[in-house]
Amino acid sequence: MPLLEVKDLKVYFPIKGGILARTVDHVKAVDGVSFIIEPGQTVGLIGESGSGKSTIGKSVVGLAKLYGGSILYNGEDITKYIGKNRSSYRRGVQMIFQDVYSSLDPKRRVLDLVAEPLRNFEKLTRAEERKKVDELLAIVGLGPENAMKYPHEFSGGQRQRIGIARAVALRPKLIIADEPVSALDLSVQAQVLNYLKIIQQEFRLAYLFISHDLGVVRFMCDHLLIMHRGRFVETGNRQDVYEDARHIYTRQLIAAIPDPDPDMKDEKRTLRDRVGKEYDDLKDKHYSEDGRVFDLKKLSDTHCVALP
Amino acid sequence: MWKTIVRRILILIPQMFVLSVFLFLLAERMPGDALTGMIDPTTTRPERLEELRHQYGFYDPWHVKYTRWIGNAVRGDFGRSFYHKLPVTRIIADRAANTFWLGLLTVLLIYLIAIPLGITSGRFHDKPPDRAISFYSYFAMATPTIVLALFLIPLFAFRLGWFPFGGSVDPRAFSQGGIHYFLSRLHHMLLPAMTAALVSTAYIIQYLRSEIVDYEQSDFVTTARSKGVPQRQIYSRHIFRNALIPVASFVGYSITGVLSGSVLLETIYSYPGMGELFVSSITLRDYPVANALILLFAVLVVTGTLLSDIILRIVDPRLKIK
Amino acid sequence: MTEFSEMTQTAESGRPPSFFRICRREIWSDKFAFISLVFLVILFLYIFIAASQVDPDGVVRVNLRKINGSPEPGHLLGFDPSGRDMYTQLIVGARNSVSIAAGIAAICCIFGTLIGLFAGFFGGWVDNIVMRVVDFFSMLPILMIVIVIVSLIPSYTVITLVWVLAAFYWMFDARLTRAKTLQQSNLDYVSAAKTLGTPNWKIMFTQVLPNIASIVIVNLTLNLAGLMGVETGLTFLGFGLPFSSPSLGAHLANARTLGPLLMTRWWIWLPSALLIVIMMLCINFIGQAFKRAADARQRIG
Repeated sequence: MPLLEVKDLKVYFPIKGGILARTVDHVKAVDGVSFIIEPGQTVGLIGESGSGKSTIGKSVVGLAKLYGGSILYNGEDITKYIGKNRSSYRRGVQMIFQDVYSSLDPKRRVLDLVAEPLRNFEKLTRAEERKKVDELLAIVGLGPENAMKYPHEFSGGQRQRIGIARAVALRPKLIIADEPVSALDLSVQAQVLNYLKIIQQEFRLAYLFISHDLGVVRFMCDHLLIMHRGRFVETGNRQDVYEDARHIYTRQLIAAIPDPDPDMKDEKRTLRDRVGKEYDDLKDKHYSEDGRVFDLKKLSDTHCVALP
Repeated sequence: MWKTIVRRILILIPQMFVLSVFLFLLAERMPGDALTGMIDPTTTRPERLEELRHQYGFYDPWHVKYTRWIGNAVRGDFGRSFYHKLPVTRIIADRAANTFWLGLLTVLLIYLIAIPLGITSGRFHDKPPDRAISFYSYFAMATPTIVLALFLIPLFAFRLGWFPFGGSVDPRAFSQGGIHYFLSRLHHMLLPAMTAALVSTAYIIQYLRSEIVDYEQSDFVTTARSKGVPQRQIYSRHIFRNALIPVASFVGYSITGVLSGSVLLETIYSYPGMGELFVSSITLRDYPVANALILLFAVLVVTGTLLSDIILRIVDPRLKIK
Repeated sequence: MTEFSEMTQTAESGRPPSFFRICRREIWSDKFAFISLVFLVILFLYIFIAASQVDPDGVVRVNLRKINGSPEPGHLLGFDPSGRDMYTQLIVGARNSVSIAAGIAAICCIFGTLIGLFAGFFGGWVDNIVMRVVDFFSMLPILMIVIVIVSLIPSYTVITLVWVLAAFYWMFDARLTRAKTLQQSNLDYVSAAKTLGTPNWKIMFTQVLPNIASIVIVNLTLNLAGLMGVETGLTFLGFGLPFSSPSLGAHLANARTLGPLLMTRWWIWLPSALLIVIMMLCINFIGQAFKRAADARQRIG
């Protein structure tokens, strides 16, 4: 049984217009996507900014209102309870935020920040709580002396590790990681990603890993969802997407992955130019007349692509 | 653009409706009724009075009375003054021009004082001229209009005798007419207008100063500097122009401020405007006049705010209504 | 420069640059604000202690032979137009004016902040209703309506006046708090708290409120000065405090009866006028220092 099953999810934002400020139309941020996440699996959700990938993450944790569709957790339809506190879903699904500066309340100590979920769901004594917080900080490589400090005393990477410690405090089954390393220096990105991997093994966590960068995702994800204009253009496992991409949008994203080898620079550029040209040529065949992404078609058990 | 303005006005309609109901209910609580302004109760038989009350719909349900009241108000009929036994509209009309001219002069003076001082303050920030101007604006913020008036009246009106105290025009000049009349009016308005202007400038001065200081550090000014644009031109072309644009939109707010200040100002200076009329009609329990004035002032305040918003949208294209 | 010293200091102490800490430094470094604060504290202490020592009967004791009487030993500020001792009137009047302004400011601050917090945090229709109400109040000619209401209330006291004024001035605080709350609510720490299962009321009061507290305090300070001006104006027009309660505005109103004798009988109004200006000036200086402190805090955050 899948841990999380999202069926035909739609998130629309109203466009107000006219003299009376009525809703005249909708921005279809997410327009009918379905996917499943198995326990312990890492699913990558990749797309350019504005493609709706963060909105999917937000709606799954209840920060964005669903327009349509349903969400099943452990086989149970919990669509109604999303965003409510009294459910196992709230404890089971957590989120890591992209902006490490605004996601920690500047006025509170690390102890209070990390203990916040514990105080909400578990009745612990002060000593137990402190012990638990120290454990959680240790998991993300921070010593117990940090508990009494305030967020502004930490670097970006350390702040994100505090964010991770908060997210895992309730032993969730799934963590939505919304571009968890995009705001960090390249030098600390790998470090934070490693912590995420270690924690995943320790807690048997599933991740919905949201990113705009196929390069980062490659080392994290088992299954990939490529998103464009609020819909999936291609889904598949690592092999399917990286070696056998069918949709021109996916191909373009792959061509855009930076290569660390300087000798490959020219080759890379010609590849990018070729794919870019291909995209322009084949655009009409990959999108319907009004620019909408087609419905997904099954190519194999794992691989789907949105072609007519 | 037009859509925005039309929408703003459409939003105003329900607001004005609620306001008129509020004022009507307030008026209902006020002693006296429509007959008080027409009939001398001491010479009329009580039965006749009661009869007339029925005839005028005094015992109608409130919504019927409201509809009648607002219908009359829209046509400019606010009933009759209890005290003067005259139509309210006529009494107010006599005073409206006085308040209008005093307000206009005040707004003019505010900008004549605030713009040069604000520019100087920003141009030479943290230097002696700015210190002096900041000192003045702190005092202006801390001094209520009444207090300033109490300082200015004995000095300019009594000791030095430069300005007359009270009234809006000299009776002699009134009969002479023409330029004498105009000058006398101006003479009577200058001291009150100056008082109101001096305490109202602080906000604009501080705004201009901080805008100019901010613009000095902005990227486009740094670019202009590095291109070698002369200092004078940087200020005149790049900084002042940008800083002054939003100030244009303050005109509406200034009008609003000056209007609400007129109640106090005209009373202190015994200047026969609408504000003074309001205070005296409350004192005389002449509620139809007071009520009509509130409605009028509310409409003027709303118009002033609307004007400001519209000007701001016209002069500053960055601001678009959501 | 200031920011730099703030950073180093906080690193040593381990606490975030708290608002009060920065206020202290801002006030310390601003000579005017510092002098204002010391002076104002002494002045308020003096006014309140001296006013509590005044014999309540003495406040209204009228000496008909001394109407408008000039200063004399034992009555350093002379007598007012009712023949009451001016010094007593000044002290009690100042206490009344300050307490009333403080009372109104406090009520407005509490209600306005709560309402603004709710509107800004929940948004949607709650926000819509609150903002329509606030819009409505802000188009009223407040002073005029307050005057009408005061003239309609048959027997009003100081408490009535405080509530009437508070009823028409809370929306300025509500509007400010709402805007700031809206800003904070869009930050990820609020989203994070929601996903971690923290109830909304707890997020509002223990996370958003502390982050906007500095602005609320700045506003409270500046409101205090503004409301003293409002009270003075109302009483001057005769619609403020009743005759039996001395207030600074009433002394200014007395000046109006003097006409050309304004300068010769200075003791009737000048001390009150100066006291108003001085108190408002001091409060404004302190408020401006607070304001700078609140800004610097935001730049660091």
